[in-house]
Amino acid sequence: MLTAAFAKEILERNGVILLGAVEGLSLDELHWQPGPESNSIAWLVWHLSRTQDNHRSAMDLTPHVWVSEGWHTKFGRSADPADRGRGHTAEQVSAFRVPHLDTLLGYHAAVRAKTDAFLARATEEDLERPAPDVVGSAMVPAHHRLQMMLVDNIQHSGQVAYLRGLLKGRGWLAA
Amino acid sequence: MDGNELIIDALGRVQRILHRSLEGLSATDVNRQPVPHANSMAWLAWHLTRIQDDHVADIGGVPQVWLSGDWPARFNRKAEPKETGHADTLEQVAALQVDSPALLLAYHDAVYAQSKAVLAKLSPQDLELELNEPQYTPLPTVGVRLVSVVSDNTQHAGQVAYLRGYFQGLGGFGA
Repeated sequence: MLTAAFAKEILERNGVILLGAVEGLSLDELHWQPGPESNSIAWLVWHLSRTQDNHRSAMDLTPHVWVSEGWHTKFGRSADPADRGRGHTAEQVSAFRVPHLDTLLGYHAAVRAKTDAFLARATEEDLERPAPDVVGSAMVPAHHRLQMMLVDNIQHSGQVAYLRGLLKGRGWLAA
Repeated sequence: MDGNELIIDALGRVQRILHRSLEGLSATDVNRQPVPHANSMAWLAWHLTRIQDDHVADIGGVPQVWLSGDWPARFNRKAEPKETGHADTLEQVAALQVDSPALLLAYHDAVYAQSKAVLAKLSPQDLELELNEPQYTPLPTVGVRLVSVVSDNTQHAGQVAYLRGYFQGLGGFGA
């Protein structure tokens, strides 16, 4: 199994957990925060999708689908590729709203489709190619960005699953 | 980069997240459940480490770290290889209490050290080997099993990090 195939498998498994954890949630549940400085499910799914979009963009050198497919307008946010939730204050997190669960899932699916297509064709050489680091001007091997994408997305998906457990009680995953 | 290097790197990130999230916390916070049906940081860190220990030892054909020393007594759990927390009852989750996060990190560090040694020896061909688990169709490969360790561990590490933020606020991670 090569790096890209591993990454694709990891994202697929993670997608099952993530989609199961958000399925059927109301807007109130999506925006619920257990504490004033804790992220909501809506914010987490948006942020992890923006993060995946950003890392893939650095690897395949195509624009964020956030901008190229106009998703930012559906969220009522700017076309700024830097609008990813990184460095958000507690106020910004609390103020974050998605219009509908389908908007959130639609954006996530659009991001995943681009990532999957990249991983399906990426060779080991592609993943060794220099890509811009996530901050600053240094260059890093593309697989570095892939690793960052995976660890960010899986952690946040685990958080979404935990929040669903807080909201719905034990046993939601098995049901 | 080979597939096994991706796994070593991903599990190294899990270790760093755990250290960052658990260091400096009181036993009270580490053992605290936000609601009675939710997992504590202690249970999550113990469980994810047990999963890594069990699965990687199996693949490497080596004894689990859990069984080589007094770890079970220190965690007040059974000295059995399948004592991973899987399907724990609410009572068992609540009963897993530690005196300090240092115990969780010590067990995790010992397991990750063994994981690195086992994984470093795996060739790309080893990752394609099928496991003798006829209950699954198709048979899982070593690579697929490692993907599930990374997914499980990273999700739970994300939950531990979330709980630190929940208990300590946004400043919890410091500079």
